[in-house]
Amino acid sequence: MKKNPYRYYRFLTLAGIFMLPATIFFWGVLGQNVPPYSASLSADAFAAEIIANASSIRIGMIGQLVVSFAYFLWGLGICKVMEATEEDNNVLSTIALWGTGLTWIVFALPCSVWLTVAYRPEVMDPRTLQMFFDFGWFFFDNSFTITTMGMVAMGIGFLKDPREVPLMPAWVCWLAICVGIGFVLEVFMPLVTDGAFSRSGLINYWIEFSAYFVYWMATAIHLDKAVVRLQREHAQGKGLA
Amino acid sequence: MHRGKDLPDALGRPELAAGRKPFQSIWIFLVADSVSFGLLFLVFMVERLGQPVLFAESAHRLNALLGLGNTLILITGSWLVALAVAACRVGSVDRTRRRLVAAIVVSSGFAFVKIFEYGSKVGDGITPLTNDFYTFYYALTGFHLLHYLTGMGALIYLAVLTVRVHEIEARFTLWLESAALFWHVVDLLWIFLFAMLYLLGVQT
Repeated sequence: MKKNPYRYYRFLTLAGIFMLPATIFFWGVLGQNVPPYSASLSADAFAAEIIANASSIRIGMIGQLVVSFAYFLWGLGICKVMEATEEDNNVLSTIALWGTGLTWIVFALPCSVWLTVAYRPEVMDPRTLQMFFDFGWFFFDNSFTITTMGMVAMGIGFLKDPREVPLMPAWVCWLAICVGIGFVLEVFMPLVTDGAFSRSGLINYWIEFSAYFVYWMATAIHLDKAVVRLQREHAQGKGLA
Repeated sequence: MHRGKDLPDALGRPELAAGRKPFQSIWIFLVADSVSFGLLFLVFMVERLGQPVLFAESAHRLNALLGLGNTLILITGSWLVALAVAACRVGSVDRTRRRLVAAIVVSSGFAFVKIFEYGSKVGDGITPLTNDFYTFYYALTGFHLLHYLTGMGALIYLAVLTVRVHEIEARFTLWLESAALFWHVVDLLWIFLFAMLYLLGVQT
């Protein structure tokens, strides 16, 4: 038996708890994404907003690019805890790892694009700025399947936990599946510039993102509890029970 | 760490092995999913309040008969799935399979009607870009269709399982009951969608 097979696990799970408020602060507040600029703004009005808030957006996007590594670590944490519940093979935990790990790109690439938009907006053509900003949002919202894949795999994997008291509560698993599938409505985002399905709309921004942040926080907290429990069980000489 | 060999037959769940009725955690998903749809319905109604004439005129262009047909198909499918659950509970593998297959055959009509409906709308130049009503129409019915396809996948999987088993196990009953619950919710959500999209405001 390994001396401490769960060493460093809490570092991984705490990475998820750390990144959520950091994301709200950097990407959301400083990045001017609560809510994002409406796609229905004219190019000139949009450029004026970017120029007025360029410093804040730049700091926000730099901060988000720096902290996004934590999402990958958190994904590894999800994967490792799932492995402690898997009986047959590690397919689901591997999918969860890849899904969460690749979501890092979903943070990194659009944030780099939005950073570019805010870099020297005063000398750029407003329509070019708007096109790049739109590109960032299309990538951010419409690459959801990679995130959904990880969330659904995590939900199913933990639901199959054979323990009498599972490591992850069933409601968190179902929430992950439900929120992950709900992202499918993002496919309507590129079709409209305003209204409930737009990137700043009631459904595709407020409801989808709120639900995602609730999933993220609930999963991060319960994942950390699961690690504490695994460590305690190991110290007491118990395995799956 | 793996304890597969030590698991009791009943899905590793002690309450099943002990013959007790376990809590079906799919209820959590169904509640969360219904709340999601409830929010979508609420947003639809709020948007409708802002553009009542446009929404009523657009609803008038939907084929209510096709919507009604699909409602009847799903209700019949749900009834057959309920019959399959009843057969499963008394341990009849053959009757469970027959009723599941009947439910799948009847319910597949929903997809054909939907394909025809989408095709005819797109053929008439009506897409999600046409106006706000049709954005909602395609989004809500598309999201519902995704649920329908998931439910059909579950029913087909369970029907295939009945070919392999000779007697009903506790975990099969649990899975079938869970799939049936999901299927009833798919049915219920469609009834709301039918009323909201096809009927609401049409008479005005």
